[in-house]
Amino acid sequence: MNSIQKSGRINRDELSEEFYFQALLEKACSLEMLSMQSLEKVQLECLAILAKQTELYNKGNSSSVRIETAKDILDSIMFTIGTALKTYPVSDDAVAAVKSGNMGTFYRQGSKQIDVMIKTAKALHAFILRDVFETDNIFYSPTIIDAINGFFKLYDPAFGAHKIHITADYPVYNPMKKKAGIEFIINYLENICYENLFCLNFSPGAVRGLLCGYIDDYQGSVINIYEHVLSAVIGCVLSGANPRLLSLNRPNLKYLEGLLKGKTGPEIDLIVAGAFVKAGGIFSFPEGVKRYISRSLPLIARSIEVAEKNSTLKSVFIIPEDPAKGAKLCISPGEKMDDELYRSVISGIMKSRTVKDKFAVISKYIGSLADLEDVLLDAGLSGNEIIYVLRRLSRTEIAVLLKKYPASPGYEISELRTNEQVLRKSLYKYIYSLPAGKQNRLIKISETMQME
Amino acid sequence: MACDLVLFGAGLVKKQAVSEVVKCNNITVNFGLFLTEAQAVELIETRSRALMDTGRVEFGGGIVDKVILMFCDSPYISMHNYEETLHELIEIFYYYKNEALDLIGDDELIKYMKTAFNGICQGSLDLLAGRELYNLARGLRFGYSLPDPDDTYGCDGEYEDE
Repeated sequence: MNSIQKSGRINRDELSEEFYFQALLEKACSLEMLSMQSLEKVQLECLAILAKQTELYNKGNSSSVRIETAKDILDSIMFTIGTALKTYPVSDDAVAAVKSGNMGTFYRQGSKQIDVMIKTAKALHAFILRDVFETDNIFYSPTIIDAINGFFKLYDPAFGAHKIHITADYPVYNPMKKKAGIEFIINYLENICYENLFCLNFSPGAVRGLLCGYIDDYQGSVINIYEHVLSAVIGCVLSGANPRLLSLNRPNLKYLEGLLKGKTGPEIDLIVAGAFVKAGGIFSFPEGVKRYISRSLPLIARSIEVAEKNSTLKSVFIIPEDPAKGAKLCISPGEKMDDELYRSVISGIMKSRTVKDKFAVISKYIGSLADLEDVLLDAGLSGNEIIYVLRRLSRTEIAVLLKKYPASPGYEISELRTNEQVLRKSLYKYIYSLPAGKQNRLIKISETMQME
Repeated sequence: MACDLVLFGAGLVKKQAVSEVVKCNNITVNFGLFLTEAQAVELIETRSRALMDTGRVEFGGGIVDKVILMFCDSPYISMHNYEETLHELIEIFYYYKNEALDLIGDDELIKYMKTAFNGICQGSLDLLAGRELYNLARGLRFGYSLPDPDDTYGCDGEYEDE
């Protein structure tokens, strides 16, 4: 049976969660539920709290503060009072309480609630940290572990209760209401908790393959892992693939294209919901995770609907790829030599009469890729002398130079310094003098390289 | 909620601040210094203007009475320059409160101003604001601790460029 809810003149859902107290007062005034005298009383009481908090902020050393600081403290006070007023399920009751009560009392109540929320958030965070899904996406663990820890370190409920401090870079899938301070963090952590619990049902390797199939640089991309895994599970269940392995393949995708072709939104909703019921038989998700997923299903269904219309289902139902494919060879330019020694090497090269002597100095003293490039630029070598040196370098060293000076760079060649232009010209003169096979090999090596 | 912090700082406590300034006469009269109520109102207005100019807001009585009581025994203040000096001191105070990034408390700053004003500045407000407090604020911003204003650091001390 549906519970009967008391309704009032103010619709709670229309009020901002972020600035609840301000929104409540504004609405109450516009509906003439709060007179100007009552509003003035509220303002004065708030300002009395502000004066007290400012004194605390200054530790009694100063009677004045910058306006920005005072505004911040006032925002914090209003957020705290708003937290207390949110406990009234009907906003009209909250307005009545504002009229009859004292803001100081609400402030104290709100402070106590915020303390409880901090404890809740810390407990939730500790629960998540017990088992964080293993992924090499650079936003996942750093946000969940380090950023949230940073929040707890910076959060000051007395003077900045409304502040979030962190950017929470890792995006959660289900939309969040705009909230502030600790309320935002609790909501964010709840979403993360469910998504993390869901992802823990899959092997990190399978998820890595799936994400690799979605985007090459999934490690450095701001993507939601849960979304792709859930879509893959639905795709696997619908097409008969193993959802635990997330192993969709081309025939599965073809089947899905056939299954979803021409289906309307509500039909896709039903198909997706049915797939989730089936998945429930394979996995044993906790109730909270199930509720979270059921809120995600309509969103997944909408992406499927759009993808089906645009014939881009493969962007929703991702075919996993081998993470080793397309792996980059990481090259470090090495450490540069001491400046004094470097100057004497350059002077030695410049004093050498023949190119043979110059190369002898280079091969004797230059031990890193960083120094090699510097010497080629700084030693005043002519084009032919550079080519002489290049002929004696290894394939890796040439490939590194090719990486540094690509054939089609994203900049104008004229933007390079003169000595860089000479080096680049000599490099390509040398490359084009090589047999075609060798040229291609060098270019391929340079493409697989990634400079540190 | 529209809370004009500046107005709050300037308006709501004005009456209380004026009465506190007038009350100071009980002590300053011993040094031959006296402020009328109109002069007290003007001082409070200067405070409000200084707060607005420096982007600050103040709660409570503020610092005007503290400045009066601290400077009333200065040998460089007499009835003919009393009011004018107080106006300037109030403006200087708030300006350097900001310049020192709030790293110095009200009482400390007022005490420092008094010692420098009576000492090395020999009653010159220009020297106080343009050299002593400038050096003090710069030093505090650079992380030095509060210097002793009796020292002649202003000319060749650690706050100097060279």
